[in-house]
Amino acid sequence: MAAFVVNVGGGSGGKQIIANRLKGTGTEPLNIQWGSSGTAAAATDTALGSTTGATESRTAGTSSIVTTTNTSDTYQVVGTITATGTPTVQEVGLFDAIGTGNPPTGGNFFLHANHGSTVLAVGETITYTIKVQFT
Amino acid sequence: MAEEAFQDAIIEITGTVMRLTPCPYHAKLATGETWDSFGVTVNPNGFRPDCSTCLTTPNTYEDLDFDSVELS
Repeated sequence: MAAFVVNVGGGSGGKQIIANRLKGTGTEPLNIQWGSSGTAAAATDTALGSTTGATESRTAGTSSIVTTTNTSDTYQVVGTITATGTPTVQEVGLFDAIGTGNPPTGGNFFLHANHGSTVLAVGETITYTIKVQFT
Repeated sequence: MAEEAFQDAIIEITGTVMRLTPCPYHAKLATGETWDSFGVTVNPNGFRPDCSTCLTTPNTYEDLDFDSVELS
C-alpha cells in the first residue's frame, strides 16, 4: 500500500501545510476522510481517488506529538469514522478542514494512503491512527 | 549551499475495523438508518442497552492492511 504526504502546487499540499505551520500559519490537518478508490496513492494527488458510496463526513481527529525514535519526532492523529451506508473503503486522507457537503470537499490535502478493501455495514467503524515521523 | 532539512518522513498508519455482531435488531437497520432512527439510547460501543443478544455477543475487531513507507 502507498502512503504519501502530498505535494502539489499553489500552496495547497501537505508539504506546504508543514511549511505554513512552521511559520505559525495555516490550519492543522487533523480531519480524517475515507474513500473508495483502490488506485495507489501518489505524492501528486490533490484529493482522494473516489468517494463513490463513501459519503460519510470527515472526522476531526485527536492530534498529538508522540515519540517514535527521538523525543517528540512524530505527529499523530487518531480518529474514528462510522459508516452511515455500506461503503467499500480502501483509502484514507488527512485534510486541514472538516469540509462541506456529502461527501465532504474542501480544505487542503495533507496525506493520502491506501489500505486493504473493506466493506462496512451501517454502524460499523474504522479507527485510524496516522503517524508522520520526521527523522 | 542547500542542505536537507529532513532525511525522511516516515508514515505509519494503522486501522481497526469494528464490526457489529448481527442480531435480529441489527438486521432491521437499512442503508441510511441509524440507531437513532429507532428512538433508542445507544451505548458508546454502539450497542442498545436493552439488547440481550448484543450484550452477550461482543463486536469483533480486525486490523486493516497498511505498510509503513519512508519518503525522502
